[in-house]
Amino acid sequence: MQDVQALRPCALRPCALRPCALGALASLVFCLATARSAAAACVCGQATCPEVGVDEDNHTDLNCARALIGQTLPDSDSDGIPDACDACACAANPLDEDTGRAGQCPAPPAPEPVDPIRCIDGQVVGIPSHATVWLLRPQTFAFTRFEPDTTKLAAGPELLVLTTLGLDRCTTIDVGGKPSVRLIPTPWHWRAAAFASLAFSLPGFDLDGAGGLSGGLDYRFPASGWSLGPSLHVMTLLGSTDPTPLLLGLGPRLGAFDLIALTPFVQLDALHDFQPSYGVWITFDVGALEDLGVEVERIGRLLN
Amino acid sequence: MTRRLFIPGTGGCFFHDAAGNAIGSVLDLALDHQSDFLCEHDPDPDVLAPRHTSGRKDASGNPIEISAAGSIRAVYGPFFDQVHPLSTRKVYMFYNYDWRLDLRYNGERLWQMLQASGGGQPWDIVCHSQGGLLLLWASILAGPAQFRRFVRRIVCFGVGMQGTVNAVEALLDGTSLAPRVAADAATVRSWPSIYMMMPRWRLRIPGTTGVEIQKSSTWKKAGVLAPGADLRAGISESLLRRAQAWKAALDNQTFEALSAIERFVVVQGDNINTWARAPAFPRLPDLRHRDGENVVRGDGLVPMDLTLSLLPHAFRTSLQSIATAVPSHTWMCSDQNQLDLCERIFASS
Repeated sequence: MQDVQALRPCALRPCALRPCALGALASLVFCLATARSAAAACVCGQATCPEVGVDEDNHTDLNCARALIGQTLPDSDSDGIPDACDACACAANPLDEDTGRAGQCPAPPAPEPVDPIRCIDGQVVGIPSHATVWLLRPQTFAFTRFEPDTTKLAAGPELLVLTTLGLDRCTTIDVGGKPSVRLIPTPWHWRAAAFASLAFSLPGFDLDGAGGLSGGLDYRFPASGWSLGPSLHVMTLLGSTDPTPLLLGLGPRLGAFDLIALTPFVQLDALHDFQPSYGVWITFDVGALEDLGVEVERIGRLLN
Repeated sequence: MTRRLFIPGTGGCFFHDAAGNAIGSVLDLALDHQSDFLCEHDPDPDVLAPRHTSGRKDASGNPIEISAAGSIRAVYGPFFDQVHPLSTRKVYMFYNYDWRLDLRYNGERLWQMLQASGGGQPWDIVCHSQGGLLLLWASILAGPAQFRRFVRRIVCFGVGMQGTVNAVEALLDGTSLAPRVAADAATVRSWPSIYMMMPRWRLRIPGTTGVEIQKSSTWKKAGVLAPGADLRAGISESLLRRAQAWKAALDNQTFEALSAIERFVVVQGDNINTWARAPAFPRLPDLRHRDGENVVRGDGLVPMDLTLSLLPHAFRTSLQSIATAVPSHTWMCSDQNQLDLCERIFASS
């Protein structure tokens, strides 16, 4: 079993993993975006506060979690009891350990009432109608221009923003004797992404930078993990590619279970007589390889 | 400011040994390394910690212990990669735990983790399936005042608060965690969590007016109680006692702590036939043959109406319930729509 020290934000764990496979650029961007301080803060709003060490007695007497033993932690109210174990961290209650917590300190204030989630005239109320979701994930793509030595393979991070188009519909139904909202999510979503990749030319292994924007619509099939919709992109290649292209592409995007999406595309070079090329984008969550017992970190070390 | 925590469900984490070597991934189960997954517990149901977490031994014959190393990305993908406009505040942390062990053990560890995290920034928690049961137990240990310090809002997806008939099936016939990834019955029978997730309602089986499936007499009469420690011959009587202890503890609960937080939302699937009765016992028919009065609406594992209707009245009226169509119980959190829903609920106050 893990303890609290082993608990890490999910997004932190892959920092050592994905970038090894996807390159230093992805590593830098991904880890900068997800790094967080591990330092504990004073819980009552002060910039600084005393610190106390947690020992075995604190575990026994104060019900401090065993995982905290040996740590030095903030004590915001200076009563000798670390905030993590203090029944009332913002008002000194040094008898906490002897007299029971409830009697020594007022309970935290009751939460403010919030609007219940209801269905009125087919619309969900009580929560916002839309959420915007930001994701940072790896992607790869390849394309060729119908000419010798024009094949490119690329990999890098993609910053993706998703939100719904249209409103959820709903009805009110009885569930186990309780009025409940039956939610019918809107199937349409739009997405926009910015990507930066390292692109290799085949053959020759010339290195380019590839960057651009993409966007499109997704239709999410109800009660399934599948989505389908049109996708557009604009991309340029910097480095060995001469002359520098401005590629405008279009294709259908098929996604499955948030794990993989395939987008076969055709694209035209807007700066050079609309020269055509074709290729495929593959957005793949490489972290999922760990589910299968494939240690991505180990593969990365081998590649390095 | 709140923080976000995701608690996965049964099968939701894979395992490492103490040296960090991957053991017990779904691939291992697919390749039939069943003994790696065997657990051993004290016969005393009040001893919550496991004796051993794997049947594997090293070259010297010493047992190798394994622990949860990470959550399965495939089924919780939308929650893994979220960033909040290049800020780190809203990234979901995953609570990795050994989903085979005593629910009370994992629930206690969860409560310790919440305490250790400090109460200055309460958590918004999303839980799936068994993860919600750990949260139930943590809330009981905490009590309303303490729990409210550490937890602000909860969204539960497919939590079998009254249990599931599928747990009975898993103990009798083994279980499939994914296509081609199955745990043998003898392996599953060493996992206390499965016993504890058997139905808490009086289960209708042919020839009875309803039985408490946790009672050893029910299994003994059917000839599927292991006479000794050989779990190939039947289920474990000592682990059945853990299920009895769990049921007894929950039957008297009002879940006051869960009613005391700002928002407690239960999301359930309503589009898949789900067992509510056992059409045969000790053999259960194949899942494909579910029909008639034995099934109700649900997500394929959690019966929707039954789960809510058997909760204490005060708790039932305090929670908010949402029904929706899902791909399956296992895959319900793989849907981006569910991440959207959580973000909207957490943004609502």
